[in-house]
Amino acid sequence: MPQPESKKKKKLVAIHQALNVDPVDVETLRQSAISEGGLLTDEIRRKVWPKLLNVNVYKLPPKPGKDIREGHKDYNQVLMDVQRSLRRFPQGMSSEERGVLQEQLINVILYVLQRNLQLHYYQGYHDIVVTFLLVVGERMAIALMEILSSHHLRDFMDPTMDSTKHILNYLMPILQRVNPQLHDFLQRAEVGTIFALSWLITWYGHVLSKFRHTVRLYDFFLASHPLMPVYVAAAIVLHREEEVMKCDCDMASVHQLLSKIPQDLPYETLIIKAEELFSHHPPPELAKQAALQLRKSIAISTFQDFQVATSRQRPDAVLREQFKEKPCLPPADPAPPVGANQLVKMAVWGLTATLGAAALAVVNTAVEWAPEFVFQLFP
Amino acid sequence: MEKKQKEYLFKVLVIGDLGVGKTSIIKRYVHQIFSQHYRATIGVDFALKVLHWEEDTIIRLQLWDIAGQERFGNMTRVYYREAVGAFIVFDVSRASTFEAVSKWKNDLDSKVRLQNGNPVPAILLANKCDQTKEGLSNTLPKMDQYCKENGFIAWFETSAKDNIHIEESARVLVENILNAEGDDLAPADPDIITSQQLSLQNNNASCSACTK
Repeated sequence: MPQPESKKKKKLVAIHQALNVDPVDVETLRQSAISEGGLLTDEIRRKVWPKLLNVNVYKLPPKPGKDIREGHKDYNQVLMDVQRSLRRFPQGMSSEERGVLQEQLINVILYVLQRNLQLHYYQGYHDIVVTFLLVVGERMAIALMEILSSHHLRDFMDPTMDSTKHILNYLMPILQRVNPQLHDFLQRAEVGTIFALSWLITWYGHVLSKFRHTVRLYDFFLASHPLMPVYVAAAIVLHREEEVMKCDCDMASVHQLLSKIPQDLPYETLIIKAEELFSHHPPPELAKQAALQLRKSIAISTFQDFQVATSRQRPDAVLREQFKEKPCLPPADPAPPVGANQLVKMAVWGLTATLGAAALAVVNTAVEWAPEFVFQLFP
Repeated sequence: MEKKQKEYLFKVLVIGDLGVGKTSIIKRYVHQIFSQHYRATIGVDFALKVLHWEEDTIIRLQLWDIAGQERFGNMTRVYYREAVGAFIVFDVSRASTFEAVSKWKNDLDSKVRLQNGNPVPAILLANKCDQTKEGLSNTLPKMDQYCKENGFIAWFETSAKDNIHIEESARVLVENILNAEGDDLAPADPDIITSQQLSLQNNNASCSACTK
């Protein structure tokens, strides 16, 4: 449903203000990403998504070189998946342009995997990366994917899918609490939860045909708990209750019905519903159920710390100063392994804390570095 | 004599390495279409083909399209249950996908069996036969032998793109399933109406009409 212009303008102003305080007002940005319409434009997404993930936009990873592909164990598989992902690129895009983006897509995936050896590629990962690539570009996509892969998507990137199965196991208990009749029907059909697998591990990128719907959901997920895609899955199944109950009660019929997502779903309503399900049936409540006690999810267990860290991000002024202090760092420098990188970060953090007061004085000039955004708001 | 309509429901798996054309074969067989642009299958897809087999026989063929990436293997196990036949697919333009065939066959036999403990009938599909064959020049002439040794009931060179041997391979598989059914050895699925022995002609298993 289209939003009234005035409401939209108000939201634009709120986002702008939240971005222009230093450090940014993450809570307002989160609320904006969740509430009706999400972050509204890709222009805004480029600014807000990094903030939602606590990414330092002044220190993006270098552009990966061609040599990233040599001897990479996942290269062939990634290549095949990317070649088969034409539908994820905008219709009407020239094949040359798409070709360039597909090359970048391969590079981003391989780069993140190479730098994080604990992460394992899965089919569907490319569906997430392409979404970010199309919105924020190659280097920023790497930065966002490094964080996401180690947090929200971490369980999917284990050597096996056991943890992913565990995450999917949250779906049925939600349905059971909200609609026991529907739940029993699904149990009788023995449909399982694999129909929602591609929804979960691609954040719906694999199954939605309209890009604007995909990025709208990404706004929501980037601002939410890692289990939120499962709550959205529950909201979708509940929304389709009538259709499901009319279906033959067997695995094949129900699997087929549910795995084909209707393209005209009321996404804003479903997001509200998912939020409501999340607050009424939070993960710890669901985890009391036996099937969910067996395993520990890295995404869930690290989320609270992640969220706290994101709320306390360093001011941009500080980040920019650091960037200026080290102009000699060549961008093509091979990135250090993550462990070492974190140590360096901590050392720099300690150092800059003492410089904080001076650096904060720069806050008021924050408007200077985002003029095109400001002009867009107040032409 | 009064004729009674017989209806069968058969669950058939389509498995093999990623990118060998499992989805394409199913789409060709069920919807008579082909596209270069099918996405990777994540998890499991499903399609239904209704066959008017004989005047009084209808067969509903459930085709389960199983994701090719190995890591999905454990998750998709549940979909093997009660399968009565399988296609194992490889890509003649990529020798590595043929090397994986025995792994897929073992995987199949370890996950599902007919009620009498026999392996489910499986057909080997050498797909993309419209393309240049890569590194298989020694293998393809010995395929009959390979099938015998590895427990495949038949093999076909197929092309989902050019619609070669897709129908034929399905027909041979269904005949074999019906034979097993006729022997009263199929899984006890309430959806499957067991019939008296069907005297079906024994098929000529292998073929190589796809000359290139």
